[in-house]
Amino acid sequence: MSNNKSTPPQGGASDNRAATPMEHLQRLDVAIHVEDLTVSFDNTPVLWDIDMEIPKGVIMAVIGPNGAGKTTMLKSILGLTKPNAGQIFIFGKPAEKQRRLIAYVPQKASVDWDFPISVLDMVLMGTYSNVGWILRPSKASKQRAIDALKQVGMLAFKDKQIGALSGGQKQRIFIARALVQEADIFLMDEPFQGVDLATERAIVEILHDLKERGKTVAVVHHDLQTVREYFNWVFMINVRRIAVGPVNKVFTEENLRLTYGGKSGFVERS
Amino acid sequence: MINAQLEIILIACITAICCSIPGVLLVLRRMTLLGDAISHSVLLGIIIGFFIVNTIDSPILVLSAGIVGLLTVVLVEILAGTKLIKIDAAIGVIYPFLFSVAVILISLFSVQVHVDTDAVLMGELAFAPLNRLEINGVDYGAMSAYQIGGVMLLNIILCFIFYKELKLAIFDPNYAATSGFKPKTVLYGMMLMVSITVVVAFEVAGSIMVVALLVGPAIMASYFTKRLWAMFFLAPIAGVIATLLGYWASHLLTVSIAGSITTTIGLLFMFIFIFAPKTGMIAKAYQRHTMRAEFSVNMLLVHLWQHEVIGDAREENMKGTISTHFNWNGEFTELVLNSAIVRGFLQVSDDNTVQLLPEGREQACRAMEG
Repeated sequence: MSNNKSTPPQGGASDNRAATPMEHLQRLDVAIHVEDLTVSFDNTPVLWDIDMEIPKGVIMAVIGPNGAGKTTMLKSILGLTKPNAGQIFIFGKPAEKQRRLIAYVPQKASVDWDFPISVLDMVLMGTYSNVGWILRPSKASKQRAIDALKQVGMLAFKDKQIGALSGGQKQRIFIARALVQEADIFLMDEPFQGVDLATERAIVEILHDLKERGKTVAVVHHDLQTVREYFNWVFMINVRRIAVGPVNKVFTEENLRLTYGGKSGFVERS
Repeated sequence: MINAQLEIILIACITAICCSIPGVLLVLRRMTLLGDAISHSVLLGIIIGFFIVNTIDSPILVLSAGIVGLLTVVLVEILAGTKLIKIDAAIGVIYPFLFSVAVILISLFSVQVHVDTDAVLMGELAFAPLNRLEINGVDYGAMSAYQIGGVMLLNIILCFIFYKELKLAIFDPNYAATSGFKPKTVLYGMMLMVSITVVVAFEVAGSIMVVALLVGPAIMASYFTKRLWAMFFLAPIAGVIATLLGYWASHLLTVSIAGSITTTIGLLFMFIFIFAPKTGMIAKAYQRHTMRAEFSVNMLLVHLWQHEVIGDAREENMKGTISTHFNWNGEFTELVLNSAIVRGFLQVSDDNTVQLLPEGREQACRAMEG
């Protein structure tokens, strides 16, 4: 290190200056850092100047009314939507190079369930990002897919065509597909939409299991009653950022009113 | 049977295989109309290619036609992407325009291309063997067999190599993008493949037969399998069967070969649509019928059991009360009762009371648990 003269002095007790923005971004305990993100469709802003960060290892609910930009937020992080402005960093590096660290669970309606593939085929798709172009998934990949199916309680259905499944089962295999990706960050778009209570509990269990393993999870969520129970972090959004932080600090009546414009009908119980 | 006939059959079968493979992808992407559009707009590409090289037998023509085919796709997707106009309307606006520009160019410059309306629509399968591949005076067979055969091999190889990528990009393009695959590139590559297939096939088979071969075999295959890889095998088989039957019919009736094959594809599809095991119309109707009968038996058992528990079985569990209760006619009531009796669920005593047997009670419990 001594022969590299251009290196500035590193860290140390004597270094009391505040971290520069760049150093702050490179902190590894921040999974996702979003800065000045603005997205619009035909000049109608969907996201207005969003600044936020998701610490590593939290399970975060993304809540807000319809049209608040929740899905757009996830899609921007994933690079599926082109923002008008703003930057996104994943584990301190520009998002473009880091997207493989993210597993995405889209909304159920986003795919064609009549497509001629089996449940196992679909879950195997989660391994593709590690397999790369042209090559086929290995035996080990198949085993991972089977393990993931077991984890979501869907192994018995592995040879069924995906269209034969119920709503909750479809959601379970979507999650199984994300699990085999061996990602560090999970972005889920309404995984509880139209599923029965048993499936909801099963999904929550998987979320907590991911948290135990140090993964970071962000979930678009609609049921305000269960936010406290399921999540430890919350991001409240309505085109603008309303609040982000630990559930017990920011999930307040005041913030809910700001998010839903007083129409939430939700009375906070404390 | 003379050699020329065998050659025609061979060329037709190769064309069927060649088209049905990208057809599977087109059907799954729900873009079958684009096949129709490309098969017309490529005419413009052929004319432009002709202006460049001044001959009709150059590979440049295939390339230029392929590019115009792809241009059709790009224009349609740009128009539809504005959300100002729906995709079917976009297709309907783009391809007649490109096709007509080609027609105008042909008449303006009186191009001596053997392109007339009949040839464009129905092709010239009967004349396909006339153009020979000769090297040093040795006849190696019909030129078009090699051309279409080459594209067929290309399609097979590409679908094999990029099987995983095509599957993912068509099924879930967003997920493909986040997994590091480039779905747009893959899908445009696929449409280029469709374009080149159409250009080469269209010269012998004509646009209508090409569209029928793209869509028909893939749809037929979908009645027999729910697996993508199996569709890639079954669709070409369906295409070849239709082609052979169609050729045989054209021979018997001495009518246009392409017309006959295309008609056969339509008829074969209708046959499968009605008679396919499990997925056909009749099989579905039968399944609905048996499911209704099965459900009715369960409903009856639950009803009987309920009244047994309440203790008013004497009044309620009579043959007559049952039919008014469920709004069943006498015939259907008999049918359901008989089916339940045969399976040992209940018995009807002489005074027309219906009594549950232990088996029936168990079945009622199972039915209620779902």
